[in-house]
Amino acid sequence: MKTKFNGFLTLLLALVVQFSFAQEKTVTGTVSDSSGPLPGVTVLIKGANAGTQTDFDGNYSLKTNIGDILKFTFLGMQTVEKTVGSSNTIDAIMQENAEALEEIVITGYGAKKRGVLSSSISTVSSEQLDRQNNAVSIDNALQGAATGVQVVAQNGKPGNAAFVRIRGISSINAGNEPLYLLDGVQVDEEDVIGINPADIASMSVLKDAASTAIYGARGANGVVLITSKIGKKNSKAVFKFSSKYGEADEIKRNFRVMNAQEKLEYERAIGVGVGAGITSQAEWNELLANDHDWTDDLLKKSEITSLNFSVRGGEENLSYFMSIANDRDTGIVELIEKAFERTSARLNVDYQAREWLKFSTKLSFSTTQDQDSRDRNNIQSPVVGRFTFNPYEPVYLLDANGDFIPNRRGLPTYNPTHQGLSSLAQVRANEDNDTDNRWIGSFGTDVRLMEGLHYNFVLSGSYIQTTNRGVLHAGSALDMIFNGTPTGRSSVFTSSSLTSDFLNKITYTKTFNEKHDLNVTVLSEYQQNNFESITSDADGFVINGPTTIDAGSNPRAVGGNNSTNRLFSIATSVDYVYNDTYILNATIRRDGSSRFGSNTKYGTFWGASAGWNIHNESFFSELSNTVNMLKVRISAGTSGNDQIGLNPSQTLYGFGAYNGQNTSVPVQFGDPNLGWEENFTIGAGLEFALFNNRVTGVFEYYKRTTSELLLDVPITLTQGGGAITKNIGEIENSGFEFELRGDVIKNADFTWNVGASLSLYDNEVKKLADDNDLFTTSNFYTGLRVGEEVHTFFLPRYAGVNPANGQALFLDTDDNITTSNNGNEVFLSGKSPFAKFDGGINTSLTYKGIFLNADLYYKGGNYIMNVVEQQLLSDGTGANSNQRVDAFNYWQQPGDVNVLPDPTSNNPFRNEANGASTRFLQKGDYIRLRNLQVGYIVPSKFIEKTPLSQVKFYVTGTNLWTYTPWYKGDPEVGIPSGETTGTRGIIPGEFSLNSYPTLTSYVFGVDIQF
Amino acid sequence: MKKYFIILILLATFTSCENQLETFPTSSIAADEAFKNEGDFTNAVRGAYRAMLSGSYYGGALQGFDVMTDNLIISQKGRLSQQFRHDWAYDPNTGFAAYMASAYTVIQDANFILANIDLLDEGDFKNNIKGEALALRALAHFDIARYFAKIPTQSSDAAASLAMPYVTIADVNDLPSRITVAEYYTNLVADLSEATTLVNDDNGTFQMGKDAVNGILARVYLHMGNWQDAIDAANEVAVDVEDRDSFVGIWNDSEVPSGVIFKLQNNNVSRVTLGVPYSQTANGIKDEYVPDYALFQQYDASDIRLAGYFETSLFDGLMYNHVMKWYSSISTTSLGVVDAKIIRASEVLLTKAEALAELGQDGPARDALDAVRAERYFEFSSGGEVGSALKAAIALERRLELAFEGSRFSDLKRKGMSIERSEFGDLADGTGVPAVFQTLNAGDFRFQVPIPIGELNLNPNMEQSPGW
Repeated sequence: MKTKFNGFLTLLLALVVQFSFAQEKTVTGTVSDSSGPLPGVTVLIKGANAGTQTDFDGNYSLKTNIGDILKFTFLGMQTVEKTVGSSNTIDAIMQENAEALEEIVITGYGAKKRGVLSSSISTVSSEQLDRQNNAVSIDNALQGAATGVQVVAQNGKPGNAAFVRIRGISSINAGNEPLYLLDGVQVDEEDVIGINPADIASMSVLKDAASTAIYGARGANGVVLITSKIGKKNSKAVFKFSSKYGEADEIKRNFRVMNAQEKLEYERAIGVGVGAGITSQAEWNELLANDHDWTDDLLKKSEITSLNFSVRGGEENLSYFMSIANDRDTGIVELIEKAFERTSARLNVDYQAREWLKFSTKLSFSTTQDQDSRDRNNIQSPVVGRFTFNPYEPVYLLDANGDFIPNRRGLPTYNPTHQGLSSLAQVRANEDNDTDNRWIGSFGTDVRLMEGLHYNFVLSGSYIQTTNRGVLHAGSALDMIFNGTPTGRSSVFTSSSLTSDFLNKITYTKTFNEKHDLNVTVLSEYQQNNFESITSDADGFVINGPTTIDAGSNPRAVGGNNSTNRLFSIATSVDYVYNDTYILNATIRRDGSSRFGSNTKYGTFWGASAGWNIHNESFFSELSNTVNMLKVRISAGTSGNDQIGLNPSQTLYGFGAYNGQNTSVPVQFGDPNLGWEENFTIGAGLEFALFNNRVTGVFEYYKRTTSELLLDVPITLTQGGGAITKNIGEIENSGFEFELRGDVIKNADFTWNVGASLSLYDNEVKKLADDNDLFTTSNFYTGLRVGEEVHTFFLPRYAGVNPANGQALFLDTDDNITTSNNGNEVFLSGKSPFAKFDGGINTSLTYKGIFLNADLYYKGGNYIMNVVEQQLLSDGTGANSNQRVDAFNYWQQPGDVNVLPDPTSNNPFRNEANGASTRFLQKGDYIRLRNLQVGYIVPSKFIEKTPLSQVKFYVTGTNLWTYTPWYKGDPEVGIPSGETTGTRGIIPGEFSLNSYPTLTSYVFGVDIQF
Repeated sequence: MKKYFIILILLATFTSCENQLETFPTSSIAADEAFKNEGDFTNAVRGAYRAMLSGSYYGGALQGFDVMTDNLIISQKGRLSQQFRHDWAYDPNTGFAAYMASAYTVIQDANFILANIDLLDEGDFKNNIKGEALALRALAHFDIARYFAKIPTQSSDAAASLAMPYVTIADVNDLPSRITVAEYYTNLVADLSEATTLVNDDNGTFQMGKDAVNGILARVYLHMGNWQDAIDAANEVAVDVEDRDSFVGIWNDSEVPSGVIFKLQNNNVSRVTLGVPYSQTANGIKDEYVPDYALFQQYDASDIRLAGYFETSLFDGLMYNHVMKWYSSISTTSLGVVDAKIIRASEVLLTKAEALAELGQDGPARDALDAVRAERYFEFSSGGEVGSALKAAIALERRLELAFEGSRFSDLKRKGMSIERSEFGDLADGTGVPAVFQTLNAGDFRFQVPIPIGELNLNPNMEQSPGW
């Protein structure tokens, strides 16, 4: 008894001692939610600065005092508070917070909670961008990330923009690219590359007319709102340092070109080229000994490095985000040191000057450089040369001793090959330096005039300055071809583009009777762009001397241009929400644009949408445990397209020179009544969330009719050809979009989620000028016909090889067999370069600190004219150059079937056989593992003694695997080659030439936060 | 106070910028501003000459059309450019759309001038502008017809066959029809004849004056078989054939003045590479085409044209006869950038000689021929040819003189002759690889190049030529 009492007393004393001497004590506990322990929960002592986070098992440990209030916070959960009492263990169970979970969606000139959105907007978060962090440009990262958005990279060149097409193609001659706005500043598609993806907080893709109507004349192709990261009030500065290193190589080919032995045998067999003329075994052996793969000599493995540093934090009235970054990629072309380099900096500051006055400043600068040569479609490009040069042709010219022969510049002379010039000689001799500097920023004020009434003034703009310096070294092989004697040449092109935008906006927000939410926005906007360019050109340079333009002995040419365009708009938008259940939105915008003639200067555009949150209805309450959210929405509206050049409605005379004096000739024919292309779109959507929000989905339908289509109607050759732009024509796009996401496993240690999306696209030409077939300057192998898809292929139909004589057969326009392909083109109904479906499958897995992300992208239903194959299976017509190995499979004797046409001179129709036809038209379907990322977040227990708060390692691989059943080559075809772009209205994916190849890359990265 | 502030903001917000929305291009002017004063007309005429120098017209394409004739065979070391023309494998999809568009562009430029001509006061200035515009319009029409249509003397059915549209209005919505060859040549003669009465005697070598217009008129009459008219027109031309010593200088533009009546000026600003159809330079002259050795042998050792037109030198270890007619100019820094010679005194004399011989006036015909030959051969003495020998001598001299200028095709065509290449190869001594396709028979439909398919699609009034 005594012992017991002593024991009790000891315990009591101990407690008392603790109470009296150790006010401070360590509390431990586990935080969990309905599915188990919850890592990463912030545990703070209310009113003090101390705090911690739960580890991967949901455990925490914190020194506290009795009476302290512990505050448990976690994104998407209701905050829990617990008072420290006598117990050393405080567990917490957190409940999901439907309110907090709600994503805030950035919309045109505003932001809305996802729940009260009644239009179609896809969002891409910074987390999603992080997963695709091998992409240097955010437009490429959009691929597969949002439904209804088709993204096709121009080519594989680092830093090249992508073609982004939102809900189909709405235009034939005007632009099809969406309106990009970085924090409200209009940015051209080609300038998106200046944006550092790590600076981006979110992207919103506005897809339907209800959401784009507020952008009026610029909204027809959809709008991409890019929002940069901002600071965080009352937060200590968080420093984040990210470093990446990686390598990339041409994506694995699904065909092979010939080696020396094969090529020589092929040449001998068909009687073409060097192989056909060899008379001695010695000569044959000598050539065989040269065997090499030109790809190894012309291309290399690229080196990718990236450094990114940011600071984010804030005080009571001021918050800030700043970053600096450098991204560098050597590219895969031999001799090129810099295919892409971007150095960027950003400073975003928000300052609450008075209770009623707030300033926001966002400033960014980036400079990008590119030393790659123009993406040519001849052997000046190494990408062409790798298939053209024969494997028995050596890289260098060697003298009898096997030594290099110095050229006029004292450098080893490259073997000009059968083409007369080595690609390497071109790359070495012809420098091409692009530098683009981009300043983009805004200054905004927010004045609270009275409760709920705000006035905003935002002055924003961009200044984009580009310089291209070209040098042709005197005495180089190319110089000798152009000039005969060492001459050299140097050129400089510079341009500057200043866009300024003045926005005045008044918003009024009020809730009446707790159930009626009203939001009214009225705005006016004035935008002006001034463009100026100068070009200059000189020749007469000293061999190995300076190459700046001043060093030239002879000025060749000067040129320059400038232009201005302006847009003035007023708009208003009204939102009304009743009881979070019924949602109505209406928008109207009137735009005046200097691009149009006086008769058609103004356009008025409108949009309206309605939504119904069925789950908020009382009758739905029984289901609400299973179905957490169910919303239907409908929308309709109009928008315009002003991407048509500056003064298309005017007939113009331009000036030049003849015999040293002025000339004037008509340079443009215009239609004075030229007006806007008009889009009318209707759409409907269904959104749902099931089983405690573990399964979510979206289903959408849209139909978009573009009328008053701006078409370049060709002018008869008897009036000199060319074209005149007129408002004729109509096309219709429609589609379905499906999106489904689910959390398969969700507990403390292990999470696994899967998402999938599918977009279906359909389009049809409804009306053309007099309903005649139309072939615009951008239609190479396609055309436009009423009732067919936009840009339907127009090619002769290949009918195989005549087994009797090896000649290629075609169907003529009356379906009769012929040997002639010329003039036998027909529209190939249903076959166009535009995909009929695409989508993504993505998954994320985390187990303790390990994470894995994978993104698959698939697309199909499109066709590609494979001109590369046409060149590599040239039926003898191009056999002086290297060919694909399967070129051997040609007709040799009567009865041969499933063969290529006879490539020998016995076949008088070789040119016809190799002409463009359906023989080279291939389905472009593919599925690709675009992205695979594996990483590890170091558990906090390992770093808690260091100043670091987070350490993350990862490896990301891009384009690791591709399945393409029909297309020979890489199926992601954007531009055919850089030389075939530059005019408006390139048709992405129409045909392939040898453009910069798609790359497979591996990048290792470390992120450190402190 | 606050209320006023709000009103002020509202006002500031919605003040319109109406007048800001008119912007104009900075490097061009509206069409209705283009013809305001004499200077505007002068500029517009020069614009038409500059358009003529387009790469797909006199800036190389037309001169390059000699690849379709027996003057040239393809070089195996070249880029095989224009092979489809050399092999007569052109078709409605490929070949001549750019040429047609460029020539009709010149016509359109001229028609714009003519449409506005009455804005000028009556007088010499107006007459000269009108004369030049008419002559430009006619020359371009002639160049179109000699490739696309039959030539009146070509065959008995030629006159009634379809030529091309003769375009006299500047309207991009115009969809004209082809007219008969007879009617077309009547229009050509009408425009040129009127031009001769209007144009200045001398507009310099780089624009057409009276001599040039008469020379072209003689050329047109020759194609019509109107021999006496051709002689009369030729007699109106007052320019003499250059001396033998001056001849080579014509081709590098160093000899001024010369027998060149009209040429298009090409300089470092226009920088049109006329020489591109013939050769490039890459460690020597890399030919696209070389003279048929049978032609090359026709040039006598004492013929100054050997020096003016050719160079025999190594390329890539092999000896070639290179065509140097359009190779380089002393006044430009890039190879192939040379003036485009369009009509020379020697051609006019040879036209006259041919017409005289056709009329049986052998003596005067031979005199005209000899006036050319005397300035080509060293210590020339007349051959004294008569009858068919004289006609053959005139034809030969015409071929030798005008080789590589784009006239061989129509010179064979207008006589209803076949094109027959030799068996010789591409190397300097006639060895090497011969042309694969050597003969285009007289009467072959391919003598009339096809109307481009795009044009047929666009203009319902346009008809394709027979055979295509």
